[in-house]
Amino acid sequence: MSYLDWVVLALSLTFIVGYGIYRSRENRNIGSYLLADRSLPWYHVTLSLMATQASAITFLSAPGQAYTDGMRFVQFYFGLPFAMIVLCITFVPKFHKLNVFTAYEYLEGRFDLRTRSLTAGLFLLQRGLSTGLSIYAPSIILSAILGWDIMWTNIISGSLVMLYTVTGGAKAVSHSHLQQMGIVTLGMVIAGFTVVKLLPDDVSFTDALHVAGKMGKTNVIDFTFDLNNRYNVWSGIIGGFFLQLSYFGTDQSQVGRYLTGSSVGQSRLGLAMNGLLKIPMQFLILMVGALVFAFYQFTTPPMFFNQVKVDQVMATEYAPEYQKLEDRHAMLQSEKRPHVLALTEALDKDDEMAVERERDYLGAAEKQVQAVRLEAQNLISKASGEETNDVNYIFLRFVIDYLPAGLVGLLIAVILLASMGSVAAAFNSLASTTIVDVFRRSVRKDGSDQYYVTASRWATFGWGVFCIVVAQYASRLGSMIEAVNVLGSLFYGVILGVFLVAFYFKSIGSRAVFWGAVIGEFFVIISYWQDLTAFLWLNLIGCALVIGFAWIIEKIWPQNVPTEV
Amino acid sequence: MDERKKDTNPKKIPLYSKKGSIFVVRPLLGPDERRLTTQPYLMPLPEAERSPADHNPAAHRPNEGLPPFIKTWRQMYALIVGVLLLLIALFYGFMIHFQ
Repeated sequence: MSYLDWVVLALSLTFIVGYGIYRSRENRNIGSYLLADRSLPWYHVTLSLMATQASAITFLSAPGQAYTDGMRFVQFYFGLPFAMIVLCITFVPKFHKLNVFTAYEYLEGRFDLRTRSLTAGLFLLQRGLSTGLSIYAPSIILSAILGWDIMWTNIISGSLVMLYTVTGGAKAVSHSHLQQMGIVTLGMVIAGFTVVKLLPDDVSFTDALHVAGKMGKTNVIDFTFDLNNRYNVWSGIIGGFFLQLSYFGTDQSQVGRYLTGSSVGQSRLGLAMNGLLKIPMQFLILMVGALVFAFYQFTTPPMFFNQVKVDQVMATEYAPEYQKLEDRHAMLQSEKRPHVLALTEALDKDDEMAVERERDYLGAAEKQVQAVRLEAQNLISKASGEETNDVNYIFLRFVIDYLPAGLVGLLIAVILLASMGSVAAAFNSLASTTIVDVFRRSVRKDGSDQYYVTASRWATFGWGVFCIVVAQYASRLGSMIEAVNVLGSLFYGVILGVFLVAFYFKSIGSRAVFWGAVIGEFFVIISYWQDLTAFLWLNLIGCALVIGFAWIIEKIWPQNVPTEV
Repeated sequence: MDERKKDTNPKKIPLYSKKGSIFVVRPLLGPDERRLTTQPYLMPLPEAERSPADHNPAAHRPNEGLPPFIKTWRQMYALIVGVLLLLIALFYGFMIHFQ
């Protein structure tokens, strides 16, 4: 990185940390610290929701996902608009009406303390682990740039977020989200334009998309119904709907964002706009990944994008073997290049026969390249003694190698800021749930407001340390964007099931829903462990199991359900 | 406030609730007496249990927060679904064109 890049990066980090500390002076009570006094307009809510969901993982992992697997990942978000509608109709009015701090607070009124504690506990476990992955994402950047061990970059980047979150609270989180999303959008647009500009002179934007498309990277839509296919329209709409409904309806890191809305209408509009904007945004991020793929058809890409791992393997006895693979990879790439140029020429001339011929050749050649990459990956895993994957490094390596001075710093700042936003929201929600649902409810009920604000800060600090520890193990999980969603799918369906019973099944009591949730969670974990279905369906299965078991238990072992006030 | 005072007629039976009020159930009333009642009996909630909507009803109108060109939340939801369908169609066209 150049001097200018470091200046941009340092200024951004100082600004966010300073801003968090500046905002902390307004936190006089727990309502202010955890929910920003419920005073924010809809656009704050929308951008805060988007910034919380779109972490560094989105900007690092999604383009890499498009590079390796194509753009089909966008289908994962097709259930989101439907989830936003259900939230607007059911969840938002309920939570606003009851003036709750956390989603789980509502469950005690409807069921009992046991059910509230169970769902809050599942949330804390799931969100604590996921946030560890979110800390790991920006650590990759620092690790790749500085060549430091990932353990130290995890500690440094996690501590920076903690510093600003512990002091700033929900207001700082939401206000900084507004600025972060502006910078992030600008950064990604610039990155997209830069990729196109870096293409050979006679290759246009549409030519690049044709190249990516002919090699299977624009596979955006798949209407085939297949339970074992991770990404198709149906798994996206049905499975994705349940995942997004669980995430936005029962995950405090998101509930806490729309509870900051100044009214029911402002919270609803914030969610509705998120439903409109999220899919196009995700599509454009994936398209940047497809364009990076097209760019590397004209320029030889690294065989393995994580340079730190490559350096490690080159220092071992496996170095000659790795070098052979690199030579083979370079040869395959150079053999491919004339055919890529022939393809663009055939496209310009509308020569369909030639297009077909080159597409077939390139498809086969790409398979060979992927096979070599896989061999290299296995060799690195063998050398380092741990599983490894370079999906999360693809876009980052491109940024460092090809973007001009200043822009590298801006884009790295963008990724770090995005990460800070989502991790900060997660810390805030973990602290809210720990203090409101556990500490204030079951440990100390008579503290002053100031006492709970201090306790919330300590809870934020404690969760920060936990998440940094989790981040140390994240490198073994492959694509992080998938790992985060797999983790969510293990718990979200069950939590959602509990909320749906609370809202729509008035005759089911607390005992039935509690045991329904316990049994449901058990079966979800078994399904995942035995690899019975693609992970997105676990959301639907978990939710259906809770409702089904709760209903059966209520029939067998009825309980007088108290009238809801 | 005047309206609420008028509603506190002990002969009237609650049929629905409004913001800032709760149901009061009177199981001892017979069917004839129930038929005679047409208006709800509303008991104000204690201050501590009231939501922001009770303090500022104007800010909690059903269609509050909607963009100017949309009249109801139903229209907003229809717009969201319509945009999703349009996006799926466009993405399909994109895929076919470039593949």
